[in-house]
Amino acid sequence: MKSLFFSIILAISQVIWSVGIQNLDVQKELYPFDTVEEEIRFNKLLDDYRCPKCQSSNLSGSNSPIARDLKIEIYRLVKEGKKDYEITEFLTQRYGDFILYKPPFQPSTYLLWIGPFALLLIAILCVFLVKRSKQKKVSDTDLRALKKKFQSESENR
Amino acid sequence: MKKIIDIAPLVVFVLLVLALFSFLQRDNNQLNSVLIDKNFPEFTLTQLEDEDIILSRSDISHFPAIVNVWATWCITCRVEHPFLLNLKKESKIKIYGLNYKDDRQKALSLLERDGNPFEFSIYDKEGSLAIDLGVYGAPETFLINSDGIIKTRHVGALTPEIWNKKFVIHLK
Repeated sequence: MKSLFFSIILAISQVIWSVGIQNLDVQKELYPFDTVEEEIRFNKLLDDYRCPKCQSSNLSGSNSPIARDLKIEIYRLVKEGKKDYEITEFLTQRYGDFILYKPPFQPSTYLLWIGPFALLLIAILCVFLVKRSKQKKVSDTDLRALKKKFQSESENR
Repeated sequence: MKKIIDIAPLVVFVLLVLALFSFLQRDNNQLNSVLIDKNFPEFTLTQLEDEDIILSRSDISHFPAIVNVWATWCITCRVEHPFLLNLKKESKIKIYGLNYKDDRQKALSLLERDGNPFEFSIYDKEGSLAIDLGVYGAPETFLINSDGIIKTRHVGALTPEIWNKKFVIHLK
């Protein structure tokens, strides 16, 4: 039973693997480059831009028509020898900062960039304050107990 | 002081929930167009109705106007079609079409069958003007005011409600 389960998993993963390899081959055929550097740069760019239609995936992970068109456009720009920042400019002038997975640091994104750290700071502050107030409580009761003990001892004497 | 510290986490939590909830209500499918308050981009494409006519930006000459991105393969565009026909009948605004990644013959027969609300349609077979416009899903509609400036963009089918809310305010 266990081995059957294992072999099924193996078969499935092999299918997924081969489909993945095929996709890579198709991509190589669709977007041929003269140099490996260009190809690496192209693939990196596709990873860094967001698909405007299917918003939770990047261009390389999307097969929607607009993602395909943008891939072709980026391919053309890379082949023309455009620098990364020029390609980013081309895209943001048309689709806005939304297309970037790493948005620029500007007033509208301050909350996005600083927010998590601010929350962390608040959390640390809260932990610190709660801890301190608890410590104080403990020492207060200790003090009272000591006092009582001292009083009763002195009465006994 | 102690009381304030005690309820502080609760207050922060409630504020966070309210803020996140209000973000959830936002319609993420409506991306703000970068082209708002800018001129319509320059282009050189043929006219859908006649492939010998070369169109450019200056051919969109009657303002105010809307430019509607449409295609025969786009189902929502067909839902929107009666609204555009009605708009042409009842409003003075000019309607220009941008036929997006379509087949010329199919597009023409659809207009013949269902009616043609457009002054003319720009035939953008490769979607190049669409990319310059930041189009990411048909139908999309751009409003150009009487000064020739893009004032708003709507993604999805136009309805009378959306028209009144997003477009009419720019037509004063």
